[in-house]
Amino acid sequence: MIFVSGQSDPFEATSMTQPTLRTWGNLALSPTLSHTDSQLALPLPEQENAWDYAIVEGLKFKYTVNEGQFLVGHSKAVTRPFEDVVAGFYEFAGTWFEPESLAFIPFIAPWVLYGWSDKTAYVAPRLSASLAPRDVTASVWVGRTGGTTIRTQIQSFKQQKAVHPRAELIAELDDAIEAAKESNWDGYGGVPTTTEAREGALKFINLLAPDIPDPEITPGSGGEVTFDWYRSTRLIFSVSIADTSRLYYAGLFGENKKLSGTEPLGHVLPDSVRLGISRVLDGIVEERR
Amino acid sequence: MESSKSVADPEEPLVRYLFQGHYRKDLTVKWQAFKPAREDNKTSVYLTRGLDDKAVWSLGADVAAERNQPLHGRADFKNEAVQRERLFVELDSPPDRHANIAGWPSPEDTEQVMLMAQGIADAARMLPVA
Repeated sequence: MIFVSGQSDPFEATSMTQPTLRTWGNLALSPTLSHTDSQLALPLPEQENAWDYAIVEGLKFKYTVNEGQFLVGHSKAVTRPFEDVVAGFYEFAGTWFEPESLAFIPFIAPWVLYGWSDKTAYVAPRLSASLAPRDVTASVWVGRTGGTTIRTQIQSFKQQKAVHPRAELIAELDDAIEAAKESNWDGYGGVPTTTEAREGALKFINLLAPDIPDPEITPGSGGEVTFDWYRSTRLIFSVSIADTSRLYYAGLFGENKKLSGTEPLGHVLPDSVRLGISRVLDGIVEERR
Repeated sequence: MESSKSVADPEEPLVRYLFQGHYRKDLTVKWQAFKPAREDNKTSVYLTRGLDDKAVWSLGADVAAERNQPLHGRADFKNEAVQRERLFVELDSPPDRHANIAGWPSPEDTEQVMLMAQGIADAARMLPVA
């Protein structure tokens, strides 16, 4: 993470200071920015790779300039819909560029907004996105919290040609669906995977944070798609998806501990699912007493 | 509900033949292999008491031919694994030795079905086709 010398991370609740924020239009500016009423746009930070931050309609952005004209930003929203965050990015970056010239470039889980709660101090991976003029072929995207340098990420992203971060898992999904495309594919009357199940599975895949390893994918006999995080037959967590509206989960964590339930399939990975996955990854097992 | 056709002995050896990749490279059986069929909400199995290994495979070949699917392997387990999940095995001949794991929850109770199937899979031993 790169900070302007002397500033604390504006996104860390525990260390956040609350400077007096000035406003310009509907933008609340950090005191490090300077502007005059005659300016139509906020000045860019003078130093490349130096972060600054602002608040737009309740969305906190930190931003910097890399490689000339590129603007990068990182937004953390508190219980705001994904669409609001995207709109906020355009509005925020519109202070420097014409909105028509901007392109939203997704990163990691592109269609998911993770929430951050002031009350619980629970911090989930945040949505990161970048905006760049459309006529620029090179892509840039923001750094994210976690210690990697911006420039390294930019170079890596250019080389990746904007491949979906879960491309291999999606390919595995399609391979599994292909294997289950015939009636009676399992010898016991199994039906082919439905289109709705595939769409739901893709929606679910996009909810998986980068720190979650790829699960096993297995087609279900009823046309659904199932995901397994597996360490042993007694340490397993599974998710079953038949459409885009709901998921079902079940897990075994040792001899006497089980977890099961159902959740809406929305824009955020349910806490219950994250918990189940974590229990498998952490190897938390309840032993027989 | 259980009936006079139910298999009571928890030590009764059972087999579920596998026609698809419902197993892992570490030769464990995936729980999806035990999901009940949509048609009757039951899981087809065979009783193997008294059969040697060769005979169990021969039975599997017959089942594969009947179902028009290549045999990938089999999952061996005991009736106690079924009973532990509060399910039961009921005889369903013909064919000879055929039975069903029955008593599953309603298909709408998806997560309970998943849990039970996971429990049975935990007790099963997977043998791939040679």
